[in-house]
Order: sequence, then C-alpha cells, then structure tokens
Amino acid sequence: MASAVAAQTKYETVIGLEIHVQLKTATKLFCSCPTRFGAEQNRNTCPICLGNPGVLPVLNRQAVDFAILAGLALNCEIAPLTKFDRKQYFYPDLPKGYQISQYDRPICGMGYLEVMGQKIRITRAHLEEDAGKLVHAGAAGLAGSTHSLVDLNRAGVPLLEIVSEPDIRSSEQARAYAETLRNIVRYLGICDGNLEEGSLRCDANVSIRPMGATEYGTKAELKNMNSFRSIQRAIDYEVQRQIEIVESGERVVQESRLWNDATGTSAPMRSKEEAHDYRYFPEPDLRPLVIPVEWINDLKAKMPELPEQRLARLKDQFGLSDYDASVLVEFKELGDFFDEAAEYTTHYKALTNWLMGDITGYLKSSQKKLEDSKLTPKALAEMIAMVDSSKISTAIAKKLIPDMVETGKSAEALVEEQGLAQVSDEGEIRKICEQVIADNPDNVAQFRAGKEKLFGFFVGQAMKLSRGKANPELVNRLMGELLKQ
Amino acid sequence: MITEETVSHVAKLARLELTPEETQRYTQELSKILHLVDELSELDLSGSDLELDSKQPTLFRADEVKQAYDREHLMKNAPQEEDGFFRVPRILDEGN
Repeated sequence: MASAVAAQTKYETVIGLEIHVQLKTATKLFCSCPTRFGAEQNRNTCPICLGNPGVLPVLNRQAVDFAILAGLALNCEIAPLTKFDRKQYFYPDLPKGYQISQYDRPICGMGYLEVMGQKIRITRAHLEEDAGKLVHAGAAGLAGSTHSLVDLNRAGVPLLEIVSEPDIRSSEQARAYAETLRNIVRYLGICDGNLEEGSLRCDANVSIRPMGATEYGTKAELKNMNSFRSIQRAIDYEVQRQIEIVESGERVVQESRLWNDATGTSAPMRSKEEAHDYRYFPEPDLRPLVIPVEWINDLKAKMPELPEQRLARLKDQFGLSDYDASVLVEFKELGDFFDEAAEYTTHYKALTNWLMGDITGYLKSSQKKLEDSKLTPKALAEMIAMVDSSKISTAIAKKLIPDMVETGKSAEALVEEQGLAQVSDEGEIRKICEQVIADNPDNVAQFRAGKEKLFGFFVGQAMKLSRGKANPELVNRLMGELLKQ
Repeated sequence: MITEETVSHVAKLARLELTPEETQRYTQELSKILHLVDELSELDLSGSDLELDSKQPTLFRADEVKQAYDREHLMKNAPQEEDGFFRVPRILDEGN
C-alpha cells in the first residue's frame, strides 16, 4: 500500500463537472406539453416535440426566467443577447435528428461557486431541450436487444447545463460542489435536484497530472452517477485507474465511461469516432433572444434567500450552532418548517432538537417525507410550550410525535383524548411511589443497605406505573424522601 | 473548395451511403453551390451582427399547459407502434 499512497501524492487530480439541471416549468421548452413526471408513455407529446414536419418551436418565458435566476445565483454574467443552435446527431431518443441547444452564445457566461472555502469557476450555463427515453426490448440492456421502444415524454423538457472550469482538485470537493449546486437550484425553486430520479444529472471530466505540472492530462468523461456518493466513488475509482495506467508506462485514452454503482467500477462506452462532430449551426426557427437589463433587475428583486444566506441568518437571528444551522440549510423543507415554527416559539434549541431528532427519525422509519406529514409548525411550537410548562413530560411528547405527524391533531387534543396530561399532584405521586416501595421489598432492603444505584430502578417503576404521566422531578424528590424514611 | 473526403465524411454523419460515382457527382454539385454562396461573402456586412437580427422582439410563450392532440392521433404517423411507444429497429451503437 505504501506505493499506492506515494503514487497518490505524486499526482494531482483535475476535475470539471457538467451538471444538467431539469427546470421545473409546467411545460416544455418549445411547446405547451406538460412536463409532469410519471405520465403514461408518449402522453406528454405533440407534433412539435415529436419533430413532425413543418412545426415551429416557441420559447417558454418561464424557462428563461429560471436560467437567469440560476445565472445570478452562480455569479454568472447574463448575456444581453443570446441565441439557440442546432446540435446534430442520430439517436432514436432525439426525434428531430438535432437537439436545440446553445453553442457560442450561452445565456449565462463566466461565474463561480464557493465550495469548501475555494472558488470554483463556472465556464457557462446554457439552455437546451432534453431527449426522450428508450426501452430496449428482448434483453436486459442494449446489447442483444431485438428492437427498442421510444417514449418522448421527456423530449423537449428544459435543461440548464452548467459547466465548471477544471478547478476541482478532489472527489470530495466535486461532491461538495454538486451538493452546493443542488441546494442552490432547490432554493431558487427551479429544480427538484433529485439525482436518483434524474432531475439533476452530473458528468465528471477527470484527469491526473504530475504534481506541479501546468498542462492538463488526458481526461475521461464519467457518466451515470445517480447519487452524490456515487459521484465521489466514480471519481476515486477513475483517479486510481489513471494512476495505475500512468505508473505502468501507458497512456490514458480520452473516452466516455459509464459508472456502475453495483460493481463499483466503470467501463468505456461504445461510441463511434465521429459522434462528436455535431455540426452546430444557428437555429433558424428561433429569433436571437434579447435580455434587457430591466428583465434581469426584475428577477434580482425576486431572488429568494439562498443557502449561504440562510445559514448566516439562522446563526444570527436564532443563535443556532453551526451544525444545527447547516442541517436546516441542507434539508430545505426542515429549514422552512423551522422558520415557520419560530414565529410561535422562542425555544429555538428545542425546535431544532425535535425537528432533527424525533420528527426526522419518525419520518425516516415510516418512510415518509416532511411534505407528507400533517404536523404543522404551530402545533410543534405549542407542544414545546406544553413541555416547557410541565403540562406534559418529554417522554409523553416523544410518544405524541407519531400521532401528530399522522393525524395533524394538536398535542393538547391528543393529551386530552388519551389522558396523558402530566400528573404534578404531590398526593397522587406520593401514592404511586408508596406502591412501588410496597411492591419491591427486596430492592428496598438492598437500597437501604447501601446499594444506591437502585434509585433509578424505583424512579423507572414509578414512571411506568403512571404510564409516563408522572412529573419526573416530583417522582425523584418524593421517592428519595420515602426511601430514606 | 469542397473535397470528396468532406462529402464522404458528411454523408457518413448523415447516415447516407454513397457510391463512388455519387460521391464524385455531389462533390462537383456542392462545389458549384458553395461557389455561388461564396459571392455573398463579397458583400460589405461590417457593422452588422447578431444584433441586426435582434431588433424584432423575441416571441415567447407563457408556461401554460395546452394539449391539442391525443396520443392515439399522434401515433398514426408512426411507422411502428407498440403499446403506446414508438417502436424502432435494433440500435447498433450507443452513438451518444
């Protein structure tokens, strides 16, 4: 292993990422077909996205809005004048025989993103239409299939392709860049940012070079990473593969490689040499797109809070710790919930604890998302107030969470229904403690003989007897008094 | 000047199979056409750019769903259909 470590410090990794962001418009980029996911095959199609002869594309203004918003959030220059081009290649998922994309005048120019304290430059971001989907029949994959079936529901769905400069130097940083970008597009509300479902797709250009070299090595393009973890794994695998090639005196070949998450390896994609001769030319069916400053300013004014800003605000406004704030930023819905609930309570620490602890835990175990939960921010704030005023114990509150999530009922209503209000009546608790003492003469004798560790046992029994309703502080005090008698 | 290699290359990209005679003929014909188009480059177009073509306002569409055709109707144009999919011949290469 010593030599492998030596080899890793001998080379520098150079990574550039190309991320396709599926824009959350209601309709496609150039026609009025719905973009709704999960429709039956070819239900979301029309003569335009099917590429029937004689049809004309008309640009979706919302998609342009989204592209500009993304450009602003990524510190890009927004082109005052941009245009569309045809990218030609033959594949059955592309009905027209060309994809409408942007070649030399992308809508967003140079920008950057701060990742792990470093600036990663963004080369450009451009609008383009998505392709359809193929199902290969008669075999598990393309190889051996007898024919293919084409579903063009996705053809024409707007994408924003965001290309980074080769500024990334480790797989960890690549992953952080992708995650940061995902958070931004989700905060902007322009994309679901779901790698598993493909609303976010990430390709990585990876090469290595001797430490200190200024020229880039030959790169390989990695595709088919369906999670943030697989982005990191695929890059690690590729770096190791290239080091081994170079160390054995061979040369890295420029190629596209398909990552296989199950095997943890990648393999070259078969492709014809000339596949990359796309013969771009300006799309004659679309006018150049003029973006006046007023349009950009209008969107600047509507810019929602971005992850970095929320992080600073959560720490500033509510005094949250770095960790708590970063979790609430990472999981946007959780952060939104917090913000709303914070209008009803000032016990922010309790709020984050409940949200990140029991509520997240219950949602996870019941395989639900926060959106599916009926729990309202106000109801959670009220429950916290009940705990703080000793109306219910923390143990009872924990028991209430699943019901609150499932039914949307208030803690007060549930406590009433199930008779769970905390008992703080001294007389009643004294009775319970006496009962426990009477039921366990042996333990009492041992305790009185000096085995003080048993105190917890008595308290536990008393809580159990009260079905969790007894005020724990009172139980502690009274049990102590009774046992010492 | 257009060469036979260029014609062969473009034909390959366009998935066209040309005989040697056809390649020769198209090379000559395309050369003539390109020569004609070349005359345009003698025009003085200084000061004109994309901007010249951008004086007309861009046409936009509002992001509203409209569906004028059902699948059954659209499928009538398909040479082969299977269960609501377009059926295409076996694909020999990943291509892209």
